[in-house]
Amino acid sequence: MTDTTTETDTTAQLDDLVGGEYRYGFVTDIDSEIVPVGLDESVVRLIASKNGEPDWLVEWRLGALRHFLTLEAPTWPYLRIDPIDYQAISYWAAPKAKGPAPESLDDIDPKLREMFDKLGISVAEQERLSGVAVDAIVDSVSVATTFRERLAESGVIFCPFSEAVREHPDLVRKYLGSVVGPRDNFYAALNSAVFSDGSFCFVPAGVRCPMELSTYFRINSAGTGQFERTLIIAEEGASVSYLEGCSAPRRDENQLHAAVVELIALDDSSIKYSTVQNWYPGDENGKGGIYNFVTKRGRAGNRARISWTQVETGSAITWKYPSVILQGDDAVGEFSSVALTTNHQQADTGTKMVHIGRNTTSSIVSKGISAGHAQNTYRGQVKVMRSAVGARNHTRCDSLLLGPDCGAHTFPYIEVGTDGAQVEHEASTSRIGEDQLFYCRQRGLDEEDATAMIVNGFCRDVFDDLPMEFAVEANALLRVSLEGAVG
Amino acid sequence: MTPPATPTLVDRGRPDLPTNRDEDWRYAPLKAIVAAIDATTGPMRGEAHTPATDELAALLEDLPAGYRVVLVDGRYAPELSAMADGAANGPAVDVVDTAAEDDPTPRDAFELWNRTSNRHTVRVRVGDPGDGDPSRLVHLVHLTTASDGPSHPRVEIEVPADRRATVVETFRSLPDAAFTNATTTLHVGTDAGIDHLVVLQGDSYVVRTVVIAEDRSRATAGAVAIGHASGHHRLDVELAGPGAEVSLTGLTVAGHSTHHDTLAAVDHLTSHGTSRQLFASIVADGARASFTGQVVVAHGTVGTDADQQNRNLLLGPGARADTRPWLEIHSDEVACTHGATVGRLDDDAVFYLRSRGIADRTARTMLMRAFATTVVDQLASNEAIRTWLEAAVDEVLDEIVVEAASTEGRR
Repeated sequence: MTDTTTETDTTAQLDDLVGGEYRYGFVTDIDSEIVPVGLDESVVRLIASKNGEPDWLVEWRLGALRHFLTLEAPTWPYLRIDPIDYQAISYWAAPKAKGPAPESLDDIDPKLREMFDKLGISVAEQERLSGVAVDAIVDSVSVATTFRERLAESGVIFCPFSEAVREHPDLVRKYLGSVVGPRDNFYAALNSAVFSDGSFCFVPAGVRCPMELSTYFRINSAGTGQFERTLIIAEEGASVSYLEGCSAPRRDENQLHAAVVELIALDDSSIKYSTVQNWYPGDENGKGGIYNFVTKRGRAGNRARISWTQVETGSAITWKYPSVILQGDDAVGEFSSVALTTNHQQADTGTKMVHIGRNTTSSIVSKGISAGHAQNTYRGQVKVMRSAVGARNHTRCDSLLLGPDCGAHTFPYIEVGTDGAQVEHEASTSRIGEDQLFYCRQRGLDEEDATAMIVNGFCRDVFDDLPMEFAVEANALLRVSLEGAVG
Repeated sequence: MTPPATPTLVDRGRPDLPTNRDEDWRYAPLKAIVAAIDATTGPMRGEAHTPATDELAALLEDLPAGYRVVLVDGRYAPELSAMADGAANGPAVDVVDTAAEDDPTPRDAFELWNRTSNRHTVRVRVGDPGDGDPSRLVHLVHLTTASDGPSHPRVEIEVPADRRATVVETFRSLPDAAFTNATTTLHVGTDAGIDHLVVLQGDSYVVRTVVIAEDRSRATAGAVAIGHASGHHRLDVELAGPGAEVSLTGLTVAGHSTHHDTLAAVDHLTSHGTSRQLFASIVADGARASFTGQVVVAHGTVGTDADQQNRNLLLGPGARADTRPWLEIHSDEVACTHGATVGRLDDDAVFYLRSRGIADRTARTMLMRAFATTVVDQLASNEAIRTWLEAAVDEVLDEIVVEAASTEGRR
């Protein structure tokens, strides 16, 4: 929105924007290689062989697959999901390599680079300007990782998951599945069987990662799902900040994204994980869009800290509960989230904080915004075990409703097993106050601007937690997503 | 009135009993409930004992004065009841065969079991046109004896338009193992008002209280769970007419390794409804209290104001509390808030009292009482009920303190 003075101009401009709201909906015409649809042992073996995986990992995958085939999709989320045919999805797609694997950024397919430029995350650009190390993943395969040498100097390993399996098998074997096991839940089991690639990050003891790490995910091919696996390990006293972004083309069909993220924070370490999730949300009638079914969990050792910060604006359906297992004494878990749903989007998202160690603390801040016909659900669990003497939790959970046809729901579960803990939960649900709007309009802001400003203020607590470059992006994203949702 | 010969769910091997995987029963003490059912029906059941009237009358002695409607094992017992003979505004009791009536679909297996086991509904019409004279208090007493397996009382209370009433519903049982599976429905007419209080003092229970509030009616529904056995109490409140005002207050004191589970579902079906909830629990070491609050605001309604609070006081390292204050909102013209806290007695407050020469145990008892009193004050609509209720709550709190002291002594 600009400083347009007349109502008509604004409307026309808005119509434009509404028409083309999802800016990342293009398809890049890259040659890609896709395995046939279907899910069975041969597909799993094929994925494993594409990545050149060792036998133990193949067996690990097959175990997960066998377990997955016995499971039924969960029905407890507050979501309306059309039945998904897991046999009608292609479980592996990759941009076809032209010649040998890319050695550096200069070698990758120019069309791919063009695509990243369109996304505004130009890998090369970002490398030069922001000093953020990026791992970019298209469909199933990691296509470029930047800044590896500089990271390697300080001992940090940051590379595609498939490469980590080859180069650092001991680390992978030790930690893979140690937080989210292959039998953890329906979607985690599916991911464990067919995960294609992802990011791997290892920060050795005592090292503060010299720059922020970032992964960019993109689904490009039709008829595929994306199943990436991220594993981040911070050894004793290490610290790392990790950013994640996502987008996908506009398509009429629904595409599945079932990722698993595992964080391991050993004693005295800290991991900060930030997500700006902007998968294609479907059109205004709820057609198409990504199904985002993600399992994210971290385990914190003594005095370790894990922070999840997320801005969720995309996806037709989101099912996601970034969690922290506070295993060590004095461990800290944090969760800050903004979830925005418009049109026919549905989100059932929140967190789990499991207090096991003594004097563990956790804080949860969740801001849900619902507009149009969307359904936005916060579902969070705070569980304090008997051993967690001195545990503390504070949860703040607010919902904002824009329009009479949307829904905002708050489903906390608080389970306390010791008198030595203190747990507080507070929540509110309301719409934007007439008086707030009136105040802003009186000072010359139009309704759209005023709403955007108030919503921004509503989300302030969470945006403040985001790294600088993400905070700017999140702000813009929120504004664009809200356009046309008001009035 | 003879008990129906319909096979009970227990006879059929209890195929449909809910499990902890059902969201509404997630925290319910189903194991204890099933054990209680088995004890009253299974082969382990002791000698059947039909209590004499005096024995039952003894259970009623301490109740506050007022009209009295007594049900023994779900059946109306006029010989124990104290009714208004000919009084213009006294309660009217009617026992109706409702087996053929078209009831709404039962909420769960227990409600179905209640219906199939008891074809009679006790209908009570209450209310006087004035301000609700405290002497016109109606006390509905459910007595469960172990003589006849689980008891399945079904009661409908009607407050006609523009009337006011105060009803206390107490559940008690004889010392033998007994299980009560009750449903009480309150119809609060247009512009009518009711103060209703459920006091659970008996053995193991599953109790449903349904409140249907019509236009501009005002209902306060209280729930006190202080019995020595575990159970599940479900309150279903429908704001069926616009402008209804409902306030729910609950106090649970869980001692003796009991587990009391409360579910309060408030459905704002119409506009301009107000609902307030305050549920508090005091949980002894080794005991557990759980609360689920579900506020649902229907699509298309406006002007809803809902608040939901749950406070839990844990008294030992083995005390447990679970709480789920839920909001499900389908309309934007609402102001809904909820809050929940779980913690122990404030150490600073205990220190303050001790520094003034009050013994630790006394200080803790005082603070526990203070916690309970704020809720009891809201629960009791008149002095007679408050005095009676305070005494009953104090008794349970004293037992907890004594028990805690003896465990501490053993340590």
